[in-house]
Formats: sequence, C-alpha cells, structure tokens
Amino acid sequence: MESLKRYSPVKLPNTPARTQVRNGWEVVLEYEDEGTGPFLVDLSHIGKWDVQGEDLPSLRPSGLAIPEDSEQCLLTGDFLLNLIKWNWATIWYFSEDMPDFADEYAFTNVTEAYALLVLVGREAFSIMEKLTSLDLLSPDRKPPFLIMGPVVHIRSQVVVLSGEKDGSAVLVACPRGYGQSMAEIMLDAGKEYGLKPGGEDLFSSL
Amino acid sequence: MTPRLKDLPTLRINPATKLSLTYRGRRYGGMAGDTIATALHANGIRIFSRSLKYHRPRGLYSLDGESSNCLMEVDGVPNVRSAVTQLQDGMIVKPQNVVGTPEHDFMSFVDKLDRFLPAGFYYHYFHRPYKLWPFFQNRLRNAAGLGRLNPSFRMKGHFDEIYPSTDVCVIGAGPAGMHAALAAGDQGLRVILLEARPWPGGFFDYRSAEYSHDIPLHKRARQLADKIGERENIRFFPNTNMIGFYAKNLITAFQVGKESDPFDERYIEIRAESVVVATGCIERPMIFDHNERPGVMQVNCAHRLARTYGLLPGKRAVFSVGDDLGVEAAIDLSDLGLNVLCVADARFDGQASSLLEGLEKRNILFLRGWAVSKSHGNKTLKKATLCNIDGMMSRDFTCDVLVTSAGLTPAAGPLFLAKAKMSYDYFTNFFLPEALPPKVHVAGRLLGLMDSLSIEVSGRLAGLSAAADCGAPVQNHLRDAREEMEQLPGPARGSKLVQAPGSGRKRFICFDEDVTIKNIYQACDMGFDNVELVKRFSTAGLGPGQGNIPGHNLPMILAQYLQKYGDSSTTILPTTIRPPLVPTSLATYAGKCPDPVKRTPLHETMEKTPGAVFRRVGPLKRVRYFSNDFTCRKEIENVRNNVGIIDVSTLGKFRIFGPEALKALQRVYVGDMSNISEGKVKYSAMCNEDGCLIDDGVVIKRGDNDYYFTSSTNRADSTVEWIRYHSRHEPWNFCMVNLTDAFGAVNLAGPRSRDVLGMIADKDLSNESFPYAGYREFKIKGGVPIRAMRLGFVGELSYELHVPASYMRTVWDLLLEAGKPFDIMPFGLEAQNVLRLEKGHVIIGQETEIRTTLHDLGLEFLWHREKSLYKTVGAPALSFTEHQEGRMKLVGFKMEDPSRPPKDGSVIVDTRIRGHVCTARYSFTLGESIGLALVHSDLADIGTCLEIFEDNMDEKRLYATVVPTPFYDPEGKRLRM
Repeated sequence: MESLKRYSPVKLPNTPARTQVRNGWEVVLEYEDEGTGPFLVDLSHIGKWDVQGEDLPSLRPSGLAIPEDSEQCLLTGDFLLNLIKWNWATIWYFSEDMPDFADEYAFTNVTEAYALLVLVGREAFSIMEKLTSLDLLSPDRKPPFLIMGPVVHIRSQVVVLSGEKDGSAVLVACPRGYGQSMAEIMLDAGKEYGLKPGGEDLFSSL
Repeated sequence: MTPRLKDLPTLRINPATKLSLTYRGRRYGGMAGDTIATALHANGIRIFSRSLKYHRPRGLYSLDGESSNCLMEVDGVPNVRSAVTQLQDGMIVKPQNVVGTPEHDFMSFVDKLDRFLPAGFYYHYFHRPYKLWPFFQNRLRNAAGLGRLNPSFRMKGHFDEIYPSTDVCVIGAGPAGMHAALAAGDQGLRVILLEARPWPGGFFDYRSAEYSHDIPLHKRARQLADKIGERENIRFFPNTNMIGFYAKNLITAFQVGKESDPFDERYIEIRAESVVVATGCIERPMIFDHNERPGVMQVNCAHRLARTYGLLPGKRAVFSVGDDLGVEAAIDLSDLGLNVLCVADARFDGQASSLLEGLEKRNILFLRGWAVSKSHGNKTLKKATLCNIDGMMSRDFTCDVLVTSAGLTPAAGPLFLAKAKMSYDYFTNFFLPEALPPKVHVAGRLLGLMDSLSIEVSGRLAGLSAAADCGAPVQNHLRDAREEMEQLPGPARGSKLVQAPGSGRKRFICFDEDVTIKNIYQACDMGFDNVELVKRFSTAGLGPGQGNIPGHNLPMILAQYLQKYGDSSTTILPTTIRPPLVPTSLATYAGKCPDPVKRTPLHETMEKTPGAVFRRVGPLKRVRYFSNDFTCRKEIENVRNNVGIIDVSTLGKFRIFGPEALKALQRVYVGDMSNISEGKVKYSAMCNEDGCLIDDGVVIKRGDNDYYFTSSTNRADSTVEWIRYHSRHEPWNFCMVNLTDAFGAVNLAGPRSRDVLGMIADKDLSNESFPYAGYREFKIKGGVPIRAMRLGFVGELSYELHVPASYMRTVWDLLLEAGKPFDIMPFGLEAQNVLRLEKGHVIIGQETEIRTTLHDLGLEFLWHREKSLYKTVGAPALSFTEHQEGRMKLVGFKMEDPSRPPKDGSVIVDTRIRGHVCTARYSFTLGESIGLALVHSDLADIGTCLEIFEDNMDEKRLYATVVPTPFYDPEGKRLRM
C-alpha cells in the first residue's frame, strides 16, 4: 500500500499524460488528447484558507493586503485573496510551497473542505450559464472578482479570473463532497462545446 | 400536393430539401421550413382534430398556435401545436380527440345535443345527489380531454436549460422589438431578444406593402434582422416563447431547437435589469355562426400561408375583416392568384384610400359596414353568408376559404404577468397599460400604433428608456426620440365589432372548450356578473390556448350583455392571465435536471468494497449494508466481539471562535458549555424554540475561545445559519467555519479497536491516558493529523477519528490493514442502527418527531437550567413542558414473540392510536426482538403491555412489554473498558 497518499475529491475521466506528486496529492499536469478547449481543470489540491475576524482589514497574510471591497479579488504571485464581506475573506494559493498560517488565530485551513474546479476557454461563460443564474459577465464587476451563490443548486464560491475571450477562466469552489458530481455535471453541460478535462499546466499557463 | 408559389422574396421554405411525414399511415411530402400544419395543408388535409366537447371538425385557423384546433399527436406526444412545430423528416402525426376518423367521428352526434349541455351542465345534472358526482366526474373526464398519454410514456429528446443575465431583455423581435434591441445595444449594453417565430420581423416579415421609398416591409424586416445579427452584444433567441414574468424582471421562456441544435427544447430563465415588451398584436376572432369550421381562418394565417409557405389558402375566398391589414391581405392574395370574391369590412369608414383603390382596380367587391354572419358546409366550408351590420341585408357566397378578423388585440400577456395596470381604451379598443412596473417598457403595436415608422420609433424610445434604466447616458437620444414620436401618427382607431349580426347556436367564443356565446349569456342569466366568474363557470379560456381566442372578446361580450341587467357602466375588465403564457411541456420545465450527489471521501473505496449496498439519503449516498444479509448479523456481531469500522464522514463539523464564541454556544446548546474540560468532549443537544430536540453532538474546546463541535448529518448544512439566526440581535464577536467536508470521519468500534488503532497511532491509547469521553489530537504513521474522540454511540469501546478528507482513503486502508489480525470488518448504517438501538441511543428524526422534547426522550439531564442569562433557545418551552401531562414518552420494549419485531412506524393502539414504533429489530446480541416507541405517557410505565398494529394486519395484533433501557450493557462498562 502506498502510504499517506492524498486523494482529490474529483476524478476526471480522461487518462493523465503527466502527473506530479505534491504534498501527497497526485496532481495531473496534462491529460492525453486534451484538445483545444474549453477545459475543465481540477485544482482541489491547492491551499485554501478561510480568514475571519473584525480585524480583517489589518491582517497582512504573507505581507499582502486583503482587498477592501466585498467580492473583490487580488491575484498576486501565487496568491488569490478574495474578500467575501468586511470580516470574511478566503485565500487560495496556487503553488507547491504552502505558506504556514497554522498559528494565525483568524485562519482556518479549508484546503480539504472544497473541491476547486476551473473552466478555461472562451466558452467558459456559456457553460456556466447552464449551471447557475449568477451574473458572471456583469459590466459592474471587473475580473478578478468573487460571487457566492448556487451552482447547480450547490452553494459555491465562484471566482471569475479573466473574462478575456480565449483566456476566460472561471473557478468554482464547492463543498468537497459535491466535487465529483459538480465535475460530471460540468462536463455534461460543456459537451456541446467540446469541454474536456485539462491538466494543471493549462491553468498555470494563463 | 398543392403546388407552391415560387420566387416570392418572403418565402421561408426551402423546396430543395424535401421532407416527409406519416399521417394516418400514409406518407406525405413537405419541405424544409414547413410546419406540420402547413405541410398537411399543402397535402389537402383540412381537418386536424375534433373539438373537446362536441367533436366538431377543426382545422387550420391561426399559424401562431392560439387555439387547440391544431393540437395533434406527433411521434407519440399528444397536444403538439402543429401550427408552430417545424416539420422534421419522418414525423408520425395523428389527429387528436377523434373517435373514428377526422372526417367521420362517431362522437360527432354530441354536436346535436348542445341544447342539453348549457353552461355548467355538470353542476345542473350531476351534482344532485352529490355522492354521485365522483361517478360522473370519471366518465366526463374520460369522454373529454385533449390527447391521450400512456402512463409509461417517456418523453424523448434532449431538454436543456440556461440562466442568462442581461441588461435589457426585449420580448418580441418585430420591428419595434428589433429597434429597441438595437437602441439598447448601441449603448454597449447586453441585450437579449426573444422571438416566438423562427425568424425576426414580426408583421413586417411577410408583407409586401411599402415601408418607404419603394422598400417593401419584408425587406425592411430583413435589414433590421441583419443589423441585429451583426451585434455581438445582442443575443437573439428565435423559436422562443416567453412564458413567465416575475418580480425584479425575472423572465422565463423556452426555446425549441433546430435540428442542428444540441437540444430539442430548452428552458431559459433570464434576469434582466430592464425589459421591453414588444409582442405586437394577435387577431381578435370574428364571432358568427360556425365560426370555427375548417376553411375559416384568420387574416394573417391566410396571408402567411401564401407569403411565407407558398400556399394559397384555398381557391375561392371571402374576406370579412375589421382593419386595413385584412384589406391589404385580400389585395395581396388576389395578386398571388387567390380568387377573392368579396371583402366585407365591418367599419363604415377609416380604410386607407390606396387600399380601396386597390380593390377597385382588381374588381373585388367591397362591402362597407358588412360582416360574415354564418359559414355553411358539412365538415368543411362550402358557403359564407354576409350581412350588413344591422342584419337587414344578406348575401351568400360559395367559397372554400373564409378569411376573418374582427380587428386586432394586443398580445399583452407579458404586461399582465408583470402586474402592469391595464385598462380598456375605447379609442383603440385595446387593453392598454395605464401604469407600468419599474424598468418595464412597451413598444410597437401593443400601444395601438399601426404606422410603420411610429412602431419603429416607439421601439427605439423603449430601448433607450431601458438603456437609461441601466445607467446609460442617453438623455439626449431620449429627447430626440420623443420629439420624433410626436411628429408621427399615434394610436389608430380600433374595430369595435364584437360579433356579427345573427343569433345562431354555434357561435363559438372559445374553441378549446367549445363555449358558445349562448353559454356566456346563460352564465350571466344565472347571476355570474363578473368576467372571472363567467370564465370559470363557462370554462371559456380555460383550455390549452391559454385564453388567446376568447381573451379579448369575452370581456367585451359580457359588458354588452350585462347592459340588459341595467349595468350601464359597460366597464370592460380583463381576465387574469397567469403563466405559462404558452403551453409548455413538463419535460421542458424540468430541463436537464442535474441531480448532484454528495459523496463522502470514502465513496470510491466503498464502491470497491465487496458487498457494499448504497442507499440515497437526501443528497448523500451512503453504505447501508455490506452484504445481502440485510439483518447485518455478521457486521453486528463483529463489532460486539471484535472490531468494526464505519464511515461517518457525513456528521457536521464546525469551528467556532472569537471572544464571544462561548456566548453563541450557550445560546444554542441546552447544556452548559462553560465547563468543558481540556481533552474532554461535551455531549449536548440543541432544541428549537418549542423545546423540541433538533440536534445533538459533541463540543470540544481546542484553545482559548476556540471550539470544535459536531452536529448530526441532517443539520450539517444548517447549523451555521441556526447559530447566526439565534444571535442576530447580539453584538457578539465570533466566527464560524463549516468543516463538514474538510474532515472525513470513521468510527472504529469494538473491544479490539484500541489494539487496531494502537498499531498505527503515535499516541498512548490506554484507558488511563485516553479515557472514555476524552479528546486527543495525534498523528497516524507520523503524518496524518487526527482528531480523536472516545465516544460510544454503538455501545462499545470506540474511537471517532476525524481525518483530513484527502487522507481518508489512506487512513481507512491503514486501519483495515492494521485490523486484519483482529478480523476487522466494515459495517454499514443498518448495523449501526441496530447497535445503537441495543444501547438505547436515539437518532433524531427516527426516535423524535416534531413535538418531541428533551423530557419526552428522557434526556432532561442534558438541560442546564442555571444559564438563563444566555437565553438558551428552547429553555422557556422546556420549563413549560417539563411537567406537562399527556405528553408522548420514549420507551423501550421487548416483543412477546422474541422472533418477530414489528415494522418501523407501526402504531401502538388500544381503542385508538396511542403511539408508534420508532425502531424495532431482532437483536442477535440479546436473542430477542427489541424496539423504541413513542407512546402516550400513561403507557410508559415499565411492564405495560403494548398492542401493536402493522399495516394490513386486520384483526391481528403484536404484543410487547415496556422495559428499561439501555437493553445492552446498562452499566456502560463496555464503553469505558
């Protein structure tokens, strides 16, 4: 038995072409026959923290300031900081060398709590439109931004990373237990657009 | 097949693509672009169905599917609107509501019995005595009805759904709608444009009349459509019927897919900042004797048959119209080859002079102030009688098509749904909006405008107003558009004619329900003086056409007739319009209907475990059994004698922290949370305001003002909201994180569980260092962080291990590996259910119901009375119910026949129902059948005999005796070993 292996809540149907073991997770970097997009990428393994407290505006996780406006996101380096409301933020970290916030009282490690799926490609919004009534293309919001709401009736955090045509990227974080269902429903919804599983490299290259 | 007109620029058919359909076992030809109805018409078929009540022959009347005339069975699906359903190759089409053949229907004799079927006849004949009504009701329902559906029928096709958001939603892609879309789109806004027909253009699309400077209207329509197509920010949805309009501009619609689309139908739910309604007009049916006979059709039906589908509606035609569009159609159709015998216009004046000249030039007889009074024929039209409005003179014309219209009526359904205040306008004879809801605008013919330019500018004005709602800087454009509008013709005078002279028995106001004018009069004479009451009593407008045929005529007729009773106000009130505006299949509403399943982190492992039987529990899929032996004997005995392991990941898990986290816990838990010792778990419960148990779990203090607590599976999603709700008026500073999915959990239970865990844990697990009710954090194999609790739900030494979800499969495998020497076995929910029953532990929802308090369950020891400061939820109710008499009590019982447990849910009876069995099972551990029941308190004493009734038991009963609980290990020694 391979010891201390960690498992993603999502198993995408295609065959991985390249993988990397990272903090116990087997991360798929590339799938066979990925095609030209759009893509569904599983990022459930990335670090995620929930940060809450009245002193949120004064916190500087890894030296970074949390955005000031609700639903605003800050993408800097490997960090994505999302302000949900004045006393509640989330931090997602896209790289291997996880920061350690264990001693920070306001921080709760929720890496395991959420499945994180990313739709990449120009049809990302057309696919999302089949899954949620959240307005992801509102001109009032400038990417990156975050909206909380139902995606296929599941409470989710949705981050629109980019609305640029081919580089469109929408991240959906849903409770881990729903991850596999969410992925299957997304793939089904995206069938008409040729949605296929994509490796992490596709996301990293954005 | 009737030869088609060729080379018309308005044609929407493609003769190069031949299609076919099968009708009554025979193949007929059609072509791409045809609807089912036009293809049938092209093949000489004139009777499509028989009517609901009288089985009268019905044929093509409208091309917009406004009545049930063209409802047919297509590929096994009943009630398909053949007039608007695009023909697809190989369709199998059947007539509907036919007993025999459409031409010879055996039930058509009912048509002669109309004298005996007045309005509300079923109330007259079949309600006295009332006990007979169910008998007649069944027979009436069998006799009536539109279409038959086999209960085992499964709808074929792909049904999809989308939920777009937009700045401006324009309903109707006629000239006004297209202009509105373009005006809003010019401001860079996101626009959605909905159109029921397969193409934009509205009433411009098929007309050859001049728009301006030798440009015909149809060409203008295509110019506008091209502009729409060029705009990336305008999404055009053809074949899309708007069906609902709800608060805050939530629009619902459905789109019928083309063959190239990945869906057959898709439900669309649009959230729009602003809405423009530009749905135009439909024709108001002319009411005369036999006004629904096949061969009688609306003006735009006849016109579009020719112009859009290349089919002349007949050979010899008579027109009876109430507006210029009818006259224009007569001239155009005459030019296309139809022999127009006569045009009767109900108006005495107001006709465009150019149209009158056109009639004269073509030697078409024009009768001013005349209308049709009767159609003749057996099954289809043979002759029409026209008379002047006073009914003094009449003339007969032999014809095979009668083109009629009493005038126009606005398709104002969306406005009614939007709760616009509508009132009758006596100039246009329209229901017009008096006041509109915020961010809703109207354009085009809905306002009574008939001039082409006026319609277009009104569209632009509405589009700019909608853009202004979205914050676009359009004030100057708006001013210009308003000024331009003022220079153009306003609303046109509408036709006042309701029904032609005469008083025949077969003047139908509602085709769907076979309601005649006479039925309306009968209802009025019986005292129904309100349009809503008349509608319900007579059933006019209650059919699948959603009231489009009688919708406007009914209030007008009623207002006229009520004058007979001295109501001189002649107030014309509309009936209520409700969604869906257009008949919609349930499959379309259901859409794809994704069913997300929540899986535990061990789901894949469980799927691979031999014998695992899953059961759906709400959104969750959990293993109920690990073999086909549903008594779970091996699983149970292995826990009692060895060690078992169960996945309990679905339990709710939370972190609550902050300076005032304790106050929040004190508010919702009935126990005292201030005395939780380090390294210990505190078991407690939550009650609702009525003192009824809603949840139980354990609380652990992990640091200063930092707690970790659990809930039952059912409350995992609502606990955070529950605590927030009950502290909403307090300025308490605390935070919560739902960690239910972050941690998986297993319960390792049985006398050998310590041995198993000890093999992989880096912690001393002896009873001294980790006693019962203790909490410890340690690592497994030096890497996996574990939160461990010594709990005893199943009544044995056991460890509830909370594990980071991604490690769960690894930890499960490690435990199974370590447990091999001890014959470890997984056990499922059913085994757990029996084990905890033996121990007398309750499951909320199983041993409780909505009225069950802590006291009823014998859990009063959990309630700490001395913390009133925290206003604990449910505490006042617990004080009240504590000594209340007549309450239900949870008791344990043993069966008289030890081998025969009663079914869960069986009732406890004497001369009446006295309680129910919550859970009962045969206990292999105890060798007898045991159970828990909620009974009236006077049956709760130890030794009381309970009489148990199961369903279908007749006079037989089962008997049990109330005994103390727990049944197993009452001293609790096994938990503490």
